[in-house]
Amino acid sequence: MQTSKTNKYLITAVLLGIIFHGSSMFFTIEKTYDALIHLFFANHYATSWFEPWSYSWYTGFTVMGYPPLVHQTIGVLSLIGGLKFGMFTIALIGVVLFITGVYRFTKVLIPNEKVAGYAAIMAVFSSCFVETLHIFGQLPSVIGISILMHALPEIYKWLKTGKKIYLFKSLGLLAITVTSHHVTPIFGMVFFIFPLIGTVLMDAAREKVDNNNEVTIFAFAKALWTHLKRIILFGICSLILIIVCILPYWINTKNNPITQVPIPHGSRDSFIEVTSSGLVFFIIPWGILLLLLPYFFYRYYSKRLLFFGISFSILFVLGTGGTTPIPLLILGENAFNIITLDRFTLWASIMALPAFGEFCYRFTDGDYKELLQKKWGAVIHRASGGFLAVTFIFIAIFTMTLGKFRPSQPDPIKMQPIVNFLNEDDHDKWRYLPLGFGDQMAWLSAQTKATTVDGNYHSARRLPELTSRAVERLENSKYRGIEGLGSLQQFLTVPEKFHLKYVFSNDKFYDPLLYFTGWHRLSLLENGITVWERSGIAPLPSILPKDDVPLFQKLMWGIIPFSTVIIAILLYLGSMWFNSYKDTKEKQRIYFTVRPTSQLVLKLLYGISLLWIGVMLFFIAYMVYGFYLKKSAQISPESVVTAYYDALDFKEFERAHSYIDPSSKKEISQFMLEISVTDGLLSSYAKMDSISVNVMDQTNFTATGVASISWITPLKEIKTRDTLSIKKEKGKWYIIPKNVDPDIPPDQLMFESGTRFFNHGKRKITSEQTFHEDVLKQPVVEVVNASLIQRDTTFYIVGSIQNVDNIPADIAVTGAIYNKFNEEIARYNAQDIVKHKLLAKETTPFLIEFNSSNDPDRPFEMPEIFEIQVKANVATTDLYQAVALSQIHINNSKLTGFLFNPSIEAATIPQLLISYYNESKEMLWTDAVYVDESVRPQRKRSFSIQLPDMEQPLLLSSNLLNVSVNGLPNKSIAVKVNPNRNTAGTDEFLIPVTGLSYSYISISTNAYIGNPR
Amino acid sequence: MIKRNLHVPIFIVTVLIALLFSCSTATQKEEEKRITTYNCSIKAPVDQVVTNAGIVVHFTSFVRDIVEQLEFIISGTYGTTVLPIQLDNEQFKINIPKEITQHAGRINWQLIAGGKTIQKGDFKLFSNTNALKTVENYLGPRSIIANNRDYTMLVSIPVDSLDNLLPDGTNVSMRHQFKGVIQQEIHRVTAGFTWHKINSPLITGRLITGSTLNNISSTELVADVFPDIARPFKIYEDSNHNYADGNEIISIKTDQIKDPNGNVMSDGTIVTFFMTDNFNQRWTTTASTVNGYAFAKALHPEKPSTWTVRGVITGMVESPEIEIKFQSILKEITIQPQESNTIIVGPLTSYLGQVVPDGIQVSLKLNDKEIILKTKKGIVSHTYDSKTILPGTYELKVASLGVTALKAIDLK
Repeated sequence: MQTSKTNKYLITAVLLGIIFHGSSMFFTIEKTYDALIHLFFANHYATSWFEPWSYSWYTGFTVMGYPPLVHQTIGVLSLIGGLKFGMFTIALIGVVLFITGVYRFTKVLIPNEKVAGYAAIMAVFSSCFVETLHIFGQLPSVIGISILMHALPEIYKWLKTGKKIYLFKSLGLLAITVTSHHVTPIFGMVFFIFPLIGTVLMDAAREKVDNNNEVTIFAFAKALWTHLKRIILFGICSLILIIVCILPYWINTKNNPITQVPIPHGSRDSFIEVTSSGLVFFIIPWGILLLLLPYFFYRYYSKRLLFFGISFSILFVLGTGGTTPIPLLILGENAFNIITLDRFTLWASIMALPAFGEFCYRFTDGDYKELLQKKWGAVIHRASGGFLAVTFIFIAIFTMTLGKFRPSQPDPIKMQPIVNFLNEDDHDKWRYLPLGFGDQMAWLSAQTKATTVDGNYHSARRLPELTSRAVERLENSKYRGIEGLGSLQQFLTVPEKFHLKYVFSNDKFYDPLLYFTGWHRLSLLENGITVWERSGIAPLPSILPKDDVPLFQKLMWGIIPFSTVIIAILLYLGSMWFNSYKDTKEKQRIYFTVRPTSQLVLKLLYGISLLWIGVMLFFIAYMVYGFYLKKSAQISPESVVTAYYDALDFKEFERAHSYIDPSSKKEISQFMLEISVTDGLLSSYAKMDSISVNVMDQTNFTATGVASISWITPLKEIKTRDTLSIKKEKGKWYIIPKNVDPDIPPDQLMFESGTRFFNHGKRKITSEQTFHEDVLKQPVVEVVNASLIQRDTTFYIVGSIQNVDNIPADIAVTGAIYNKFNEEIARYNAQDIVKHKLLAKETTPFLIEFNSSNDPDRPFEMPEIFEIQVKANVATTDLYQAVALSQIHINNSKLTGFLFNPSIEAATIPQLLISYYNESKEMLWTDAVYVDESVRPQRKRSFSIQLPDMEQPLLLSSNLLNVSVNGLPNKSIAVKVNPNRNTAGTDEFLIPVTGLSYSYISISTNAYIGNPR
Repeated sequence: MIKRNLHVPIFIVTVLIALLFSCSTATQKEEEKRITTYNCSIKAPVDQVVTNAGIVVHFTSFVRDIVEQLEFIISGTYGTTVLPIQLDNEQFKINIPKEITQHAGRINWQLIAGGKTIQKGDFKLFSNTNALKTVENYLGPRSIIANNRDYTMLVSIPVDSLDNLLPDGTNVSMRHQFKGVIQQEIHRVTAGFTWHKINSPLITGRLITGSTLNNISSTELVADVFPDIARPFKIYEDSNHNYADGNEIISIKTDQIKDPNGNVMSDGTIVTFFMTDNFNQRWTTTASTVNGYAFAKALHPEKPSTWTVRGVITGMVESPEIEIKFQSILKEITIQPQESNTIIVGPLTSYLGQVVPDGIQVSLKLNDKEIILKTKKGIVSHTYDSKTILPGTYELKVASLGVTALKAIDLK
């Protein structure tokens, strides 16, 4: 609905918006957090419109957890030009709707065509809108709020005039809002529609009297009484709409309430403590509007807009997240932890746009112009205007390109090779798991029919392994520290439970974890993604379980959202056709115009504004100074040590080298060479978590810095303590480099011969099931000993396994414990405390931990019986023996020695499996120790381990009664393959210890080779 | 105006409601008609050979009026179904489709009218021994061990052209070849299949099997024969010299490891070598065999010592122990005259008078505080910080390559 006279500001704004957002979104939207998720949903509707169940994520979930309109629209458009065409079209429609929406919303608040036009132009560059669209990619939210703004004038008119057409139009638009985004109309009711009702009543009251001062509470109440019927009718209708339009959503919410552990979100942080969250969720969305806050409060606390003032204040406070305790108090613990609070800032800044438009109008064209030109002179007025405009647009551009400066996503991944891999030879009959894909995992899911255990819409998660932890996605679990990796470990350790066979790794951080939990590398795809595979996983059954919903819900879900759009379009077409807007005069009567205010108020506003701008500028200057301090790292010994490790952590070696003492004559090439020969868990797979620097013996020119650092690695948390010598030269502090290990390997050229293995898989090129003659016999392994162990209240199965076959084996060890009624208490696999790939006759210890923390409600039960199932498959890779123990010596409880690498491969992460035995040589315990640094060929690496002074674990039972290997009883294997098992090697293998609760230990070695030749 | 605009939503809502309700329509059951007498019968099918052309059953008598109530129920090996009565040239007939007639076995049939069985019977379908297709063979386990305990089993299932099992008593000729020797045995089919247990030969190699029946044959299936548990083996050392210089590789080799029947261990069998020296330090290194030989590598120690070495295949066999002696390369430690607080040790020289290899550990011990340094060009140096150690005369203990020297030093 446009007025008969076209507003040139609005046209300008729309054109500007299309050019600005339309040309930039092709570079931004695909890299946003949410856009690809919506794309995935759209693909779901494009392929199965009426079926709400999707198998793609979380082993199956319902798409009824998110209102479908935007997804369905993209889905429909995708049939014309593909999914991304649909996404960009919707984004463009969103831009136009938003700009026109702001225009119409402004006309309700400040009934002036020019002001509305200014506001529309400001809306184009509003940084909160730019952030929501180009950084967050929240398409439904954008569409929802835009349509809501379009609905507001209709609601105003319905309440004011009582004409039913306005009621229908407002309800029609509200229905679109509801079906696009569920949160917008609910909170929109509170924060936009309630104050609007207040404004209507104010206007109605004002019409009855002569001047503003006569609008008293009494007059207001009278207006309320006369309009009550319309308000109630509108209220009831909109409530029904909200419920009925997305009824299946509400039913689903009731049936599957969100019971998961809250996932941390930056918008809930304290913005002062976490400055990065403050930047993204407060400074950027507000942008230059922050400078004008006093004006907004002044405008919205005028009598007519009083209710918007209250609403604006609440939104502003809620948007500050955890900075103040008020949002938590208002929303309550539950809502605070589910809702992301950034949307309040979005709404607040949108609400500020009309006032901002008005300010701009008054500043450039209206009364403020005259006032300020009189006060400051024309030049300063123009310069400040220019400054405001440039800053405003600069912030918008900066916001849009934020993703470039601080990449929130990994580089774009070419999905085609992965899609091809999944299509090849029925690989999509197993589940896959992407690692390090960022939000691009949704784009992969949209392109393949293969399913994954992970997903990118965490409210829909169902597996207890996921909901019990505050981990958004497995894919980026490294950012959630030990807890995130713990969640990932569960899936990697028990992949058969989820039919998980393939992992696509885009981040080598996870590779050691994959290796030590029994996965092996398959191939490097042409897009640089490593495919990892786990052998012996059964394919998905052809029929998978699903939560079905009644037919009426499916029909409602498929039909209603799209119909709301058609109905709204018909309503508008109808009114344009039959009822083209004639009564512009009446409209002018409805709204009021801006009134000049008293001199006193104006002076007060001017003073406060200047003061506020001063405070803000000081604050910004302080922030800039803070950045300068961070940048100039060499002003103190602490800062240079911190900066040095920071540079190493981010692999910025040139920067790290700049902190090295120049008088040490260490050239960058030598420094880089020394860096390149260090490898291993600490230098290649660790992420610095925290650092604290302690400076000792500081003189004017020298100091010693002790850096205590804690690192997150995929396998464990590492704490290091490094002592560095620091010196001051020409006013700057430098680090004195450490000496390089002068040890040289004995041989220049090495020769090695060995056995390598290859398995064809299918020999015939066919996608039929593997032929009988191509199926290899499963290798025969034997469980040599096994015991059930108790430590505190946790139970373990510990034992050792030997590959007694003549071919290499890849083993998966499952343990289960039962109570005295033969009911299963727990079941788990051996995780990393076992060697998964065994050469012929090789032996490994293993330990299975039954972690009770997964289910805290479960009562403690004492296991009576334990069971072990070993599955062995032919292994062909990762069998290389790269490390050997040398010079092992135990002094009291300290184990010292060297790891020597006699091979030609670098042992990137050596693992020592240390087993503990009692005096009768029964195995009590096994533990894995990872050596932090790599061992290069023919070199040695010293290590020392403090043997734990643990309380002797309780040996509950030790037998091989319920042990099976490849489905056969272990006993029959023992009798058949090696009936005369003897103690060969035991005496040498067991190292006696004294003075500890155990009598012997043994050490087995294993190593992850990061870059096999 | 307003009303006109209402038409569209009202229409749509009405259509929606109508759609919802039309989804559930009730159906009424037809009343059953009762007929008491039936005068229909068919010509019962006789036992015959399977066919993929179907079998036609003709009626011997029928009443045209009740044909609609007739049902022909048939149960074969693959399940039960109801077949329609067809009219062809004024004659009623039942066509048993090929899906049923191509599977051998007994077939039961019933002719039912109005819920009453009016005729029933059965007939057999025999497999077609004149048109044979193939012998399906299965062999397992696919790898066996060369000893008297292990065996593999060959299962043969000869089938006719329609994949039916052949009758009991059919003779299948089962053969296997090992190292050029072919053995053949005739086995009779029982319950559709026959089997033959092949005892493992005592030498490693590949066992190839196949079966034939008349003119049809199976595919080739193979089983690999792997060596048995090894018998004790010997180990040897091999090094360029026996000096304890910490910078030379010593190889420890096994002889060819074989099982009791003289079969060489399969490639990739792991052998663990345990070394212990006279200072109770331990070494463990693993090696996998190639053609029965395993080579393990270790670094020479840095001080003169004697190693005791044993090679082991865990839980199975071990070698006798051997002893390896390493002799010292350093006669004495030279400590250079002291200047200020810096101590310079070296140059340390080796058995030819040459400088020791880089990276040799030198331990400086002062007041029980030990510092480990590594040589560069045979020399190490260390400066004692007067802040941490009070000035005075101390006794410094220098140790490297198994040699110890004492020297009094003055710290200022």
